Amino acid sequence: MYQPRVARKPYARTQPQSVSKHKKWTLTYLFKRVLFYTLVIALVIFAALPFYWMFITAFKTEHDLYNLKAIPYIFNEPPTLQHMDLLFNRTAFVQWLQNTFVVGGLVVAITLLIAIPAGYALARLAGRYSEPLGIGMFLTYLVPPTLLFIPLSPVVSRLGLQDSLWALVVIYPTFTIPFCTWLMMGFFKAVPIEIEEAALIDGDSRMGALVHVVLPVSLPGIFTIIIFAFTLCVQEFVYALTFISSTANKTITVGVPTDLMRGDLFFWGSLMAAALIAGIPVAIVYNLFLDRFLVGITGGAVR
Amino acid sequence: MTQRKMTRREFLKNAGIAGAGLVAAGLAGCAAPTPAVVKETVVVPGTPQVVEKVVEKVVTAVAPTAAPATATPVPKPTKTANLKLQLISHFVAGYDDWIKQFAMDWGKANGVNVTVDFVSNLDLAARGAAEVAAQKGHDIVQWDQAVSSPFLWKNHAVDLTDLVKEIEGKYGKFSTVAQQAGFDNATNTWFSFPIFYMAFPSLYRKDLWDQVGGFPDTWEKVLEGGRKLKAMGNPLGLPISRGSDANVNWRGVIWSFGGAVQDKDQKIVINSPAVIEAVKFARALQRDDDGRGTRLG
Repeated sequence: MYQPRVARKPYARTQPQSVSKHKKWTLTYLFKRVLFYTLVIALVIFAALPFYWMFITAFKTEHDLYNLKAIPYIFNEPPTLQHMDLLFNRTAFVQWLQNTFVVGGLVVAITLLIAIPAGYALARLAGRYSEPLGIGMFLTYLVPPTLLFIPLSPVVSRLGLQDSLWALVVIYPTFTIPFCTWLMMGFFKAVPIEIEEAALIDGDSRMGALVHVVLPVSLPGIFTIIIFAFTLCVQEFVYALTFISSTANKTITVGVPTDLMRGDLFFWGSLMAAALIAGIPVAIVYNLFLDRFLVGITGGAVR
Repeated sequence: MTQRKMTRREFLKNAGIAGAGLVAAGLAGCAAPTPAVVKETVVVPGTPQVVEKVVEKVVTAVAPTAAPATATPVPKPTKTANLKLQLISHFVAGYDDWIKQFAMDWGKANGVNVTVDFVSNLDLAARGAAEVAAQKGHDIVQWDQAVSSPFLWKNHAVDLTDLVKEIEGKYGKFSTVAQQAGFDNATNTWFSFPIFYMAFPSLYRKDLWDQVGGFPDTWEKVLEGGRKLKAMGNPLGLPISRGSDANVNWRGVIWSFGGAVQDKDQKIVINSPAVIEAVKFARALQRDDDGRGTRLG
């Protein structure tokens, strides 16, 4: 029984049909690899081009920027720091950057404090109401700030928070918490209930089981909501525009267009420099935690 | 301790800023007796004519409580008075620094805490909506009529009729354009104070145009002369962009061809043969289709 099988193997290899099969396999393999890398390269260019464009524009001279005969993708003239000078020395960019990070940090903290227990409660304690409650929370996230800023204006006014960064700290969680809660709910559902029950049997309380058992295995999900909430805060525009008016309290998204888009005059070099500087930290954080971020996203998507 | 808010009327009257700062720029244009919105320089039958373009800007004083103005004498500001201004970020960045310092100096001299904030003109509508909803915000708001009509906010603005009348008594009637920007025909009141009106005349270099046939008083002459000038190494420059200047410019071209974006009955009429002709002309100005284009831009 064994012998013929051994005999067939070298015989099969010498068959022209098999050689052709092997060749076909190689060609298919090569084609797939070429296709794969072509797509990867295209995707990398697609993702990196905006950053490259921001970088090159931030350091180009005005003449180089507006010269239609020059190749736009390279430095045709020596780079300049004039746009950086305008951004750092003649606008309050550093203050705006600081405001953005302060608001982002506080909102992330508030989001974590509320979204984690809320997500856990929806996953474990709400029973048959968890699904509709989760969907309901997610739906609130879909109402755009362009509609909500008008009814929220009197609220901010009554709280006495107009033109204060605290207005953003109070308002931003209205869009970070619903989505993050929904995300955490999905993630907590993916955590096997048995390990939690084991902790409960060992004498831990419900809160203790959450802190000692569930949270450590949910770190990817927590990283996900940290990055997600922070990114949402950095890119938010409408609330920052409508609730903040003084230069000292503005965030990047409002300060930069106010000072660098004057009527129909755009300071492209400084605009791109501002976008690049604001985008780099977020890009670095994304890359540092990319693996955990992906696990968080897919983990939350399991159920 | 309650802080008393200073009204924009007190600010304008007591500071003398009305004569020197915010308003001064507009008086020359606004006080013209019979200004023309569109100035037709020369009409040549069968050819499109060159027109001048205008934009208007107004200052609207937003009243948190929409209270009507009273005729009582204006009190002197107290040491604790506050005044918040929201101005449009100027395309000349140095102007913002100057006007802010100007207002702060005035505040210091008159015992008023002045705050000056700036906003991009395209963001005016959102800020206006938020402040009206909150019934709280700035005391004086600069508005740009080219971007968003101040009429939208007239119910929330203080009646400025007495102030306008006082200025008109000194310098003459406000122009038609100014009235269109700040006068409410329904209530016969001024809800905003127009500060300037700006004509957009096309500029040309006489030395160059004299070499190609003289002043181009029709668009056809602009095209013909432009081709010659381009061959001489001096191409024309007309903006094509999303900005208001370009819109003002090309509306003039549309009107010159007999077209319009909207008619007097507020009907959209942009889809017309006249506008198509205007677009064809604009294309000829921009491109070298026939090898003779001026390639503007």
